Amino acid sequence: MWASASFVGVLIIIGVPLWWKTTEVYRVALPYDKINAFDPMSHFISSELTVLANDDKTAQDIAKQIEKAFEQSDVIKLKIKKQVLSKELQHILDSVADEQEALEEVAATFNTNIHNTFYVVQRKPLFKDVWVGTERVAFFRDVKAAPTLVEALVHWIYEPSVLNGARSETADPARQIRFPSGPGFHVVLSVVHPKPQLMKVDFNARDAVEDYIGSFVDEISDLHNFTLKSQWLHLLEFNFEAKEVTDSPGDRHFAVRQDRLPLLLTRLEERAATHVSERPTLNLALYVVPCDTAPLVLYDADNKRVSSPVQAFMSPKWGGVVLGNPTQQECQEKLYKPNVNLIMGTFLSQLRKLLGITDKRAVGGARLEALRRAAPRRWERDALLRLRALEQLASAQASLASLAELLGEISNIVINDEVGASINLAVDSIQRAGQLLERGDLLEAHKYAQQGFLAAETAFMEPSLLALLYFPDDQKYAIYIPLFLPIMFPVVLSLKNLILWFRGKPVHKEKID
Amino acid sequence: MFKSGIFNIFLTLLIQIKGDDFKEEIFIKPLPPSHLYVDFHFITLVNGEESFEHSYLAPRSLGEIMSRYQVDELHLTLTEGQWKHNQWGYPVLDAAPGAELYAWFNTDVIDVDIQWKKLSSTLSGLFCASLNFIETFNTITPKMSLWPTGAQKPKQNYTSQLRYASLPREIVCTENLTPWKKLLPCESTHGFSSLLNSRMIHNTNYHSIGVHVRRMCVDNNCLETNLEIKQTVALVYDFKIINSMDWSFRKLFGQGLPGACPLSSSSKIYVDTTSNSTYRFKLTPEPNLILLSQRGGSETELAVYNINNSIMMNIVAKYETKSKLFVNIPPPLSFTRYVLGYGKEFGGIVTELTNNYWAPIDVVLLENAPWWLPIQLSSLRVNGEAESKLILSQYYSPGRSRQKPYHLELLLHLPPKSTTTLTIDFEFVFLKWQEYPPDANHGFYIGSALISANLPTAKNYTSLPITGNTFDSIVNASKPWYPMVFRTNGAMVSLPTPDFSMPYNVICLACTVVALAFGPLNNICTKELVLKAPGTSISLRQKILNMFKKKKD
Amino acid sequence: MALILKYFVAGLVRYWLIHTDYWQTISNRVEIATPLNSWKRLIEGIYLYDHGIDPYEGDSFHESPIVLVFFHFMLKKVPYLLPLIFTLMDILTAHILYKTSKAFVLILEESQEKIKQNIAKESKTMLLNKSQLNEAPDYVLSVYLFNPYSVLNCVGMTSTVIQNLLVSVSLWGAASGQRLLACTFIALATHQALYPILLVVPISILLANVNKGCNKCSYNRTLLIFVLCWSFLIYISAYIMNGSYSYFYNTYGFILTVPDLKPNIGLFWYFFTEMFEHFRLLFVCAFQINALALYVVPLTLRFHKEPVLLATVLIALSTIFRSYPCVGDVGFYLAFLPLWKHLFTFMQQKFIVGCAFIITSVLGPTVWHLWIYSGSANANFFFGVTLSFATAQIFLITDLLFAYIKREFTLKHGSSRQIDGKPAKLVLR
Repeated sequence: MWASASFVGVLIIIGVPLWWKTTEVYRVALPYDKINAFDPMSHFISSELTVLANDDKTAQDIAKQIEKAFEQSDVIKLKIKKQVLSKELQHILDSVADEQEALEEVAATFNTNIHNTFYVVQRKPLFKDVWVGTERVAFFRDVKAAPTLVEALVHWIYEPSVLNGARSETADPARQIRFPSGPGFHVVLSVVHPKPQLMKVDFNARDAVEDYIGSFVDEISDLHNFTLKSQWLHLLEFNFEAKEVTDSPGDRHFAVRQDRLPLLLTRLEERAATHVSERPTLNLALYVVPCDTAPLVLYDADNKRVSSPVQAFMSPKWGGVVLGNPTQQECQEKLYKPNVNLIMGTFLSQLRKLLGITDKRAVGGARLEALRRAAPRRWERDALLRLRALEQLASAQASLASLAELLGEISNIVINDEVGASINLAVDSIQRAGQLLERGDLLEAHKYAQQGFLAAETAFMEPSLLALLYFPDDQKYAIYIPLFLPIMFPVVLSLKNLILWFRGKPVHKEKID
Repeated sequence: MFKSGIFNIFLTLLIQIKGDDFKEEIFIKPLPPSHLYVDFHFITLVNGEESFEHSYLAPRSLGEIMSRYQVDELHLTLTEGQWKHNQWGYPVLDAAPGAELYAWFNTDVIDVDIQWKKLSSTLSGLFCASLNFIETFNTITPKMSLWPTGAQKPKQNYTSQLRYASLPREIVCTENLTPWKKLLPCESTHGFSSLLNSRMIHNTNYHSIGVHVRRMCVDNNCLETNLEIKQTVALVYDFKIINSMDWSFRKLFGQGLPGACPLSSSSKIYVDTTSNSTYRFKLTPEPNLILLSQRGGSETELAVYNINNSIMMNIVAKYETKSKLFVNIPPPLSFTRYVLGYGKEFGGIVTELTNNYWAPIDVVLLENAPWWLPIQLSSLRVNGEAESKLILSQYYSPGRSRQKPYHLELLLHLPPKSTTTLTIDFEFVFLKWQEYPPDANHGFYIGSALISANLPTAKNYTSLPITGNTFDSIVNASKPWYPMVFRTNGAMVSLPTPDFSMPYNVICLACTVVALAFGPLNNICTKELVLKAPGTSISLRQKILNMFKKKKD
Repeated sequence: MALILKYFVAGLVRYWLIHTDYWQTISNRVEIATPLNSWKRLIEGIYLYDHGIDPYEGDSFHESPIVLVFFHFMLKKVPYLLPLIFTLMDILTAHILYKTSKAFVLILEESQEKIKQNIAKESKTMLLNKSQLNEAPDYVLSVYLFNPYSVLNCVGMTSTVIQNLLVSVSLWGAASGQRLLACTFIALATHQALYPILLVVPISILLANVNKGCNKCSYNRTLLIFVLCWSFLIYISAYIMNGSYSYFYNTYGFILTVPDLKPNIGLFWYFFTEMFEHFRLLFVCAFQINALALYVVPLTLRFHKEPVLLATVLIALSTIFRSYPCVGDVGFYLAFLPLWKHLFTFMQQKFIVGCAFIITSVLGPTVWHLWIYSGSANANFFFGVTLSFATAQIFLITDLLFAYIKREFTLKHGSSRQIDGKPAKLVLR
């Protein structure tokens, strides 16, 4: 009897836990409930707007109109503060000559360097109704300028429609142009020189990219990490199939059709060698047109000549190309010196669009001061932060939701500690980011949103999740049965007798000999 | 350690680089009686202090890889075919069949293995070669055989920063040549690289493409270094394949040479005409210059073509005498390697090193056996002796299954005019059924052994001196020693295979036998014998149970 | 006189075979030499140790450091005497087995005296008399000296020779009541191969029986001394390897985790060649439990009155189910069978088992050659032969045990199988 008990002891008491432990699929517990509770459409950003007017009534009116305009959008919630300008400041603003000085005066009194704030200040001597510059200040003339001011705020400063698109993962036009979110980008300036034997090019690509692009990306270094590179692609020829068009005797140009341009991008991609890093690359290519087809002029889809001093085109999510046309004299001297300002300026405008700074369409009665430096406007930076934070938040939540669904359905996938840690980190970061956004703490919110996004991507792309995916249950049983069935069978049968014996009753079992 | 000469690591080279410098060269050497050796070199010199984020002529991707993984020196070769040292002399750079990668990492790097894995994975993507199969179980750190050819900081332990791996199973084809060509500044449209037509160059007995990156000193003080990126293609043509003994660029590459690359500062073609005395051939067009070089006691005559325009040209060589008997004078050091044994249980590897020179030569032999081929050090015999005096120094690192390979390095003293035979036994390992490659009966490749030697003579020696980077540096470059690292041929063994179709059958059968013991023992232990009168009714349950259990009588 | 002659002939046969050309083949055969005990690996380990390389760093050496140091010393001083030493060890084992079986016979006689009252009258003839009992040790000696399994084991110069010696000495110590001797030698054997730990149970029972006194204290004392000896040996081995316990993975770890899948006459190799990675750990544990832990307690409970039978059966079971068995182990337990020749009349499958042994022993090398050298068979053939060999051994043991309990029943109740004059069946309940 004791022998029977010992068999039972070894097999069932040691064997079953051993089996359980050695064949379990290691799965770390995940916060499924929190993930299921995600709702990207519920996130919103609070932003502070201060109205500074000459008197109380104006301030009230303006504030009320702005509130009414923004009460529809749930993605951005404005906290409007009203304040009356001090008499001194009013006087200064009215008497100062141009807007830049006025800006300085305002900046001296109020702190315009805080992220996610904006000041709407009244200034009587304005040329147009509304004036917006590079700082977080907009000047308006009086109450009658309110509708223009509201339009400027909606279409230039806050852009709730774009933010809505970022939050909802739909492919709106703004999203189609800009690069997807990421912790960093490589910006590569490629100088394409098809015929180095016929012409020399005097262009310091390194200095150009580090000066111009460098000063631009330094300003948005909170958002992304940029690595600036440059390279020369020699002997890369591309046949534009340009037709010669004579404008006037002695003056001709070569026309390039729009549908020929994507093929250039293919040629550039072959040589650009972007595959050695995992970060996406923004390509800025300067194509030095050979003398025999210079000057090249682009014709758009309607076959109309593109008239601008610099011929350039842009491809969404890839980069931009500028055609460098040497003049007749440069062709004779066989030395081409490109106009660095013009070219880099074009690149910068392409770069802005690619990074998410939208084009500002004209608003009647409002003046948007043109950019003088490479750096983006302060409030454009804020807009980028908001956009990217929402985008990353939405993307992280979507990744986690699909990952949780996948892991919940397929019970064979191993979830190891790193994946569990990434997912937990992602969930925490998303929650914090959401809270910070609602409070309006934009920089911190973006940081957490990016952290959550990266953690969600890491967890999603983890290769170890593929282990054990295809071990069906029935084959598992085919492995267990040959050994354990014949062994467990008599042991389990004797369990009944064992229990009876423990309770002291007589035992009855048979085996024919 | 290498007693007979440590490479001087402080190199002296006077080159002033402003921007990048690109040179391209071809070296052609007829290998009598019926082969032709063509070697392409594309050398880019870059100012090494600047970061690789801004490049002019050098390939940016390679530079990025070097700086991101903190690699000081990198050598990668992809080879198909075996160089026959006995008949063809010595190549400029020897390469093991398959893929071979070795690199020295910066002394600041602490975890070299992680960087090594990242480096091999990135290179695998860049060259479309399966270098991602390089793992810790096929990587070794040679202690004596490989020395850096580039500048290194003094007094640093760089041996521990070296990693070497070889994948003999890799094949080289167009897929690898195309990304390799993209790294050249002229790509494949201009210059010498346009000759590299993959249909023609893969039709050879031996072809090897390589990338070698190292640092070179700018001046004697070596305060600044330049980075030298050298891309090489070595080809050995067989006259029987091109169907004639007269060769020309059209026959070899399918097209003439369309001139030099506009970006190169020098484009030269060197034709070794030393064998003109016995196998006379005439070159058309006439070479620009004939150089006579005395190197280490042997004379070489080089015909030089300086190409500096873009006119299509075709170099033709016509042989004047067609058939002649050929006496092969073997080079100073020749070797062969083969596998002994029959059956799939035990075997042996034999390496024969022949020293044809009148003075003794010291060599380092590196045997790198994979983890599934356990070699037995106690069975190492040199010329049949166990503890031979010819072994001056020995390093052995035993391997572990599935974790690290077997690594044996021997510093041997080869007596003059003799053949030294090294034998070592191995056993075959029985692998788990999931560890066999898809075609299990194709066999498993054993990589080649490395033989490093400082040759005392430059006979048949075509390599560049360490301080040089173009072919003209071999002219009159007599040195006391001529270093060279040779690769022997690889071998192939056939491992015993289980039956792959039987996992469940085996499980059932083996478990049945185990259960066969359990039943009777369980009964003996838990039941006792009693006499039972027959005729008592057997319950249904007992009947069913009787069907399952065996009846013993 | 006849004894000396037997020793001499057996020794001569072994010594001569070592010096023929066939020695190399024999010592490399998979049935005789496993990764645990082969001579080739011992030489490799000693060579590495000699040259300052840690033999446990690689994968080739799996003996304990004590054996390493012992053979290192022997190879340095008297390498030419080693064949003689192995032969002498085997002869010594045979002699000790002779003495042990004599002591066992005495124990059998004693236990027979104890049950004299309970036996049926008609079975009195079945009792063993002195002459029958005294024949057994001679047969044991002959079987061990001349059975081909032990001869080949000795000729192959495997370390199973040492293991057999250690186990036999400890059994003799147990049978003659010398506790320290028994425990030390069984600890040595366990340190070398782990599976002899099962024998602690029959040894403690034997010691308790031979040394009259309180049984429980005897068991406790035996166990304590064994554990102390074993720990001491482990400590000494670590001391030899400069204080590191890294040899554990190559010795005990190797036996328990079975990383090397070289074919042998056991069941593990092909099973784990074809096992899915995910279940490997479970099945390794299951098989090791089967070999080490599953049958000890039940068999002890059933046969605690007959420790000699218990020892025989435990040795046999550990040989069949261990991870790297070899023919040396098989030869060793076959030597104990003549002790039970009075059970042969009750065994029903002698012929089948005998034929199976002969056929599989001859067929094994044949299909091995076909698989590995000719390439015309495949692994399944050798696996099938191995399975049949294991099955034959299992049948042998179970048959022996059944014969024992039948004899026990017949002694108690007589040989008539009748109840109230009607024929009845013998049934296990």
